[in-house]
Amino acid sequence: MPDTQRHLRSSATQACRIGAISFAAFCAVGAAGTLAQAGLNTGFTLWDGLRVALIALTTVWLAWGAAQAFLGLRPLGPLPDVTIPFGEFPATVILVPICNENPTEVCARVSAMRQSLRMAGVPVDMAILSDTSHPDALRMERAALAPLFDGATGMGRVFYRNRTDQYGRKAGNIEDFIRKSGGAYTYAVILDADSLMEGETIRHLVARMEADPGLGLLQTLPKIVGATTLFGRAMQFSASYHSAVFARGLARIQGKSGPFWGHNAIARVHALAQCCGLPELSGPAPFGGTILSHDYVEAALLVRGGWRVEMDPRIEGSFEEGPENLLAFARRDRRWCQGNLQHIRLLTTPGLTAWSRFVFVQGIMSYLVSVAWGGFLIVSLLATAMAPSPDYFPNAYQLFPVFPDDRTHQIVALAVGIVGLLLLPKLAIFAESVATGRAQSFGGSARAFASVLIETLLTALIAPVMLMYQTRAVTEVLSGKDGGWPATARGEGALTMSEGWRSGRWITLYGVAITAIVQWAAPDLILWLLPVTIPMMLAPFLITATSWSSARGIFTVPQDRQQAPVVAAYHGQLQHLSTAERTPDAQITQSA
Amino acid sequence: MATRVTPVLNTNQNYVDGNDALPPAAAMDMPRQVLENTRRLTIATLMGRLFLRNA
Repeated sequence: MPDTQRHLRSSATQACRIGAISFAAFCAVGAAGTLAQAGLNTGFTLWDGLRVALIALTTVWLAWGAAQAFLGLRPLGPLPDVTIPFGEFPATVILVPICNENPTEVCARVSAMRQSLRMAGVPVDMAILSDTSHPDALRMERAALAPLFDGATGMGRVFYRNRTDQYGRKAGNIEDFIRKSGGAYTYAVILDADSLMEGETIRHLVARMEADPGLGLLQTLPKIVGATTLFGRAMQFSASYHSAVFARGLARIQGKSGPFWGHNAIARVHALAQCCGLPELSGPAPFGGTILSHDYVEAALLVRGGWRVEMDPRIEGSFEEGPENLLAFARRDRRWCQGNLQHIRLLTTPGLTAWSRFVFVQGIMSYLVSVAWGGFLIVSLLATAMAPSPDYFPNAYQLFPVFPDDRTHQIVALAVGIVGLLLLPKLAIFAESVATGRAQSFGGSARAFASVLIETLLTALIAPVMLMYQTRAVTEVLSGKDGGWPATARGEGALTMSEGWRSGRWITLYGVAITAIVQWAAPDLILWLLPVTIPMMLAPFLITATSWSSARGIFTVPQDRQQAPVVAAYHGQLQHLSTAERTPDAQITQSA
Repeated sequence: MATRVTPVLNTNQNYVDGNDALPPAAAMDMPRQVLENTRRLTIATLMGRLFLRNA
């Protein structure tokens, strides 16, 4: 294995996995032991047992995330230097699955990538695979995309087709292409409707696949671009600043059984054809029917078929857009929640590697842990409310009172530990960015630190709101409610107060109810719960205010200072197409 | 290493070559994968296994 891929050696992967699992287990045992000790001081009850179990579960999850950050602090080796001999570029297609998207934006993205591919001299085809169903949307889509079909011949053409049945949704859309036309290509670069990729990046991806015949899929780490709101820019900053390190840790832990995130990746077409024909699961949705989170399953199936799946965060020039407000994020999260919980059915799929099953468990846990946190708070409240009053004179003839043991030390230690697990990775990433000079591209050390601080505060504020959304999503899925696959609301930015109120008022009601119950049953706890109940009561305001435009001073990312060529080309094309749409001739053509 | 899937030329005329349709048709076999484990470990099967093992 070349030196640049040292982190993928089996021994290195095993060591990282053992280290991360041991760290998570150590933290969980520490947290559970501390809480159990606190319970023993005053008599261990059933409530204490429940709390110990729940804190162990939640701490495992937190520590697992922290371990990934710590493993990613050390940089990976340099990017492998691979080339393709002139004139031997293998047949490659870029797949752009779309479904009721803004067609002007799709056209601008495809045009920008095509321009980038031409400049890089990369001869690949592009296929726009439409699942758009509404007749008006379909008519507009065809009209908007028409300029792309300019009669180019040979490689570098743009194809378009529309499916009428939408079987299997996005995975089915790509599968339909492979079944009918996959044999014409060796590699497929799979994108999302909002993805952008540089021509040089695609050349590198193809060269990596050519150099490594056992590699079935290579996933890039897309950077979020184009965010304008406070929420969107916070996510964009986090994805550039924190995720770069987390992804290195993930690459080390996952090794050759890496993830597939459904887009911004290259796949070997015959590996996909061989391994990734997904069936519908028996029974009705949400647990049966179409597999929603298909990408994790496809990665597991490729590994089952003997292929390697790698994620390489060192690859630059890969971009996507992110949700611009909390509502759009929660909507996407609802779909992911249902998709991940559906994986419960796949834990016993024959032939999967143990690690693939563990990855499914991680995805399932990422949603169940919200319910566990909520359960921990409720059990803690009940335990306090139902605790008997202390008996200072347990003996009849007693001169001095007996004070029950104080739990404060253990509870404070536990709180410090939990907050530490949340904050330490971020502080460690900040130290890494200063030490390596990476902080300079985020506006310098001071500005990067301010961004980290504000992002942490913002995350703490919206965490209870997200906890409520995720708990509702899990409850809905477990009670059999199918959330379907709502269209992604791209470009949806600022919300009005009435939109925020309509979406968040149920969380406010829960916040008020919890505060009233605590005030009645366990008033001593009211202060402890304020960090949870205040954001809940303010949910409509938080949802709205975080959707407002953000000042450029905070959450500075490298993309702010120097836009990637393909992103700049996209904005140029979008402006050009939007102007053309507004001209009288274009309006007449469209209305016709 | 996995076996290679051989591309098959598509005779389906619904898709024609051209910039407004799918690329030159070359169909591939894409078998549906088995994902659900239909084996149920019940007390009866467990007892059966024990019986067979001890028989």
